[in-house]
Amino acid sequence: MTDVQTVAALQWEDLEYTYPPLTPHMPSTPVLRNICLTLHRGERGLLLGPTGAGKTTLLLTSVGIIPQRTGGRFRGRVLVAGQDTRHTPVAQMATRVGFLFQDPEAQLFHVRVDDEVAFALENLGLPEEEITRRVRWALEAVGLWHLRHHPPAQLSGGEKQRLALAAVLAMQPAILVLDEPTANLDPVGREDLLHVLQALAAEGRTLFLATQETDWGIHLADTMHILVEGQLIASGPISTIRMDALPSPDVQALLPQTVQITHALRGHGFSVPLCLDIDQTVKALVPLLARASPPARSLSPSTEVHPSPPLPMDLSPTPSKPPSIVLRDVHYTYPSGVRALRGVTLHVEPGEFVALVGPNGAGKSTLARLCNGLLKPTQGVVQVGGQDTHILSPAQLARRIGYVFQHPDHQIFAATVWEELAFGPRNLGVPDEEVTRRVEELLRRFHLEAYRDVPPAVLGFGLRRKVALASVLAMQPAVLILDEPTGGLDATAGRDVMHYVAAYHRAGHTIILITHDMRLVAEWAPRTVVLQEGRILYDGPTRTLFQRPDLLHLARLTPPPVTQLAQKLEPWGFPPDVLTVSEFVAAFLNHAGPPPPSTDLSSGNGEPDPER
Amino acid sequence: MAVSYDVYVPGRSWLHTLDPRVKLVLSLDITLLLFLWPYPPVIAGTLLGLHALLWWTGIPWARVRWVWWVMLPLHLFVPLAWFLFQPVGPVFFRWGLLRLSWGGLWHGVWMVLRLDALAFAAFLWLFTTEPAQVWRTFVGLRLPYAFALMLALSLRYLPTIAGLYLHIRDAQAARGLVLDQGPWHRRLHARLPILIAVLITTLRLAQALGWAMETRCLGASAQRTVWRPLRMRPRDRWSLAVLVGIGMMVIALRAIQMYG
Repeated sequence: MTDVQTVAALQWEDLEYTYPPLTPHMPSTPVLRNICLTLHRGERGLLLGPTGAGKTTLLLTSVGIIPQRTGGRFRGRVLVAGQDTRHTPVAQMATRVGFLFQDPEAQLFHVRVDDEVAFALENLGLPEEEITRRVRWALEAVGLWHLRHHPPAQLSGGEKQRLALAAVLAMQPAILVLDEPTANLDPVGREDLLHVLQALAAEGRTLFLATQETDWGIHLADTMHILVEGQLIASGPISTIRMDALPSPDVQALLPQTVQITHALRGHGFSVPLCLDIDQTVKALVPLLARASPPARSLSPSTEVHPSPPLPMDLSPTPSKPPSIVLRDVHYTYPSGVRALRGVTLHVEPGEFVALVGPNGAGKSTLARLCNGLLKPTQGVVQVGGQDTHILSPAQLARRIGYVFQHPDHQIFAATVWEELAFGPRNLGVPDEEVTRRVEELLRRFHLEAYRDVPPAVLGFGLRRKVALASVLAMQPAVLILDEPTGGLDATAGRDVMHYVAAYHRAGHTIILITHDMRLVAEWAPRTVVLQEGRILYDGPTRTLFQRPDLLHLARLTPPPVTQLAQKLEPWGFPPDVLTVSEFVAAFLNHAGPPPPSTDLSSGNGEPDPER
Repeated sequence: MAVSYDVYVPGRSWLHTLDPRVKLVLSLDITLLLFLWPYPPVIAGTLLGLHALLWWTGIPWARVRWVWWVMLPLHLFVPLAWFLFQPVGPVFFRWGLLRLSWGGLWHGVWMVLRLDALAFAAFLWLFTTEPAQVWRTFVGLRLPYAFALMLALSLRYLPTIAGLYLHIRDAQAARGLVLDQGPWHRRLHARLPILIAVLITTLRLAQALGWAMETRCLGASAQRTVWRPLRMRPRDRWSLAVLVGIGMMVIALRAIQMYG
């Protein structure tokens, strides 16, 4: 233990920060304003905020990367254990603040797991014996000691993030700052990381964590800090945050599903506290359900998974001859010998919305690449619109299959957003007038008009994601494959993206959604295909999947929190197969009847259901 | 699907367990031999010897074939260039810069075989040296740490960036980009969207990497230590002595041949 731990705390004093402009014409507005925040020693802070609110910027100030490495206008000060981050080199600050970045690829630069952990300790000039001791301690703390000789590149997503954490822990920092540590992890990877962080928090370390996975992060935190447009709109112990007084449904959507449920029930006149986790919610709802307990009944499997939201757009007419995707006993083996698919048979009907899920390495992306011709099966047949993909090039298939890649930066290259959107249709030989019509329409629908002449590469992540999606939609493919379309986006921005996708689906197009986010699957996809080790483990209604704990366990999946809550309430007659917050509330109202007359409505805020 | 271009072949052979610095001296000896004795029998013998060594070390034939495949463009270009522009012996056709000779072609063939032998000498080291030992070798040779780190990072991230290129190529192909049709200049131009996206992503990656290294205390102490540094065992010392002796003998024999 270092002496730092006796005074470990983070303090932001009236901070205002503006990045230097990326282009001469871009306005330079402050990203952070009036930030006054103190994290005491041993505190576990959860930082929430919509995409683009400034969360990563705020975290980067804690270790001095901002402003030391970024420049820009910096007013106020940030203190770590009493030291000003502007005047202490980042490498020195890192001994006090361990910083875990979102992307493990940029954090793991060695070729062996134990070397990765030793790197920081070598930089500190520690003796060899001490390095050996700490490497072992850190790897055991995250459960990776048995993989110490492996190359980091061969670890799963969850293991990589735990390794990055071990590399940080080895420095024995008193404070841990974590920026979206669960991005792109499968549900079990998230659980593994949660257990490690809970153990570290129990040792008394200060944690400051930014995440969009609020249902996950809430299990770690004792204080919550909500950042909106660069300003803290709420900050303090979780029990003191007036979650029912948050300014807009967009911000409320950041909260855990259990909070959204209890908040909505309060809107309907039920006197229930705002609950942060499933067990609390069960305790709060059971008395209300016990009043009236009809037998549990399942929601119909044919029930529409998502209530129809207002259509934000209607991109194109229904294709006259919609294609379907057919895979018959498809095998695929990479040149390296890795068998990614082993006898997959799948039929996707025109106009279907199918989710493709499974743990990292299950073969989801390989299957998608077989569909759009980037890969050809080593055995079996893949047909798109009745044609074998063996005889079609990816460019020919691009007319029928649009593939939105996981990382928008893998698609973005053009000098302007307008050119980016026009690139695909031009490749397909669409006439100039039609290209212009489509691009203008998409700019309007996606609210990108203001950025039409801006290089897309300099836009924020949420906008880049929109540009990447719009650039594929501009080709008007009959089948749209989306690989983690909401990754890195907050709930509201993610929902915006999915509304565009849903509108495209309702226009008669086929959607294949690849994701680890079970809330997304539950909300949007009536049918789910589960892949595991290159084989189809399950293919059927999403609603039924979440009632199959055996399958979920095998595929390292967990139902969304709202479904877990419903399942816990089943003994009180509650239908266990609800998938969304709005379904839950409807089922609750149906089941529990009107609120009891004695209900004290003074704590309710009367605001509308955030789901509506 | 992660793309891997690691060339290391795990094994327990004598070469695998030899100190990487000593193996570098072996590669250096072979290089000296090929430069000081650039004669067909020496080149052919060295190539045969290297293949025997690779076989004895347990390197799979697929890896050896891969090296030949990598060198294939040189097999076409070098002999042709010598045949067309570098006359050796009688010239049977002249026109402008063109001076065709069968001797030139013969020399071109041996020139490229010498390059093959040099490549195999380098790959002998890479095939048998664990990637984690690569930067320790540079540090062990007393190269500045910044230089060793730069080399190690290059080796670490080359596969990543190559994989990135393939990924982005796929992303653009999925948007209808046709890469392999039309004349060469059109094909080259078609690759611009890929190269620009690779550049943008690589710059982002480089920035994130730099930040991550700083937050892992890079530069925090002037007295950086090395964990598990390379240590020579008696067998390594004996091997080093023998290899240094062989190198000196190669130089001495060449000096005697030239001057004595």
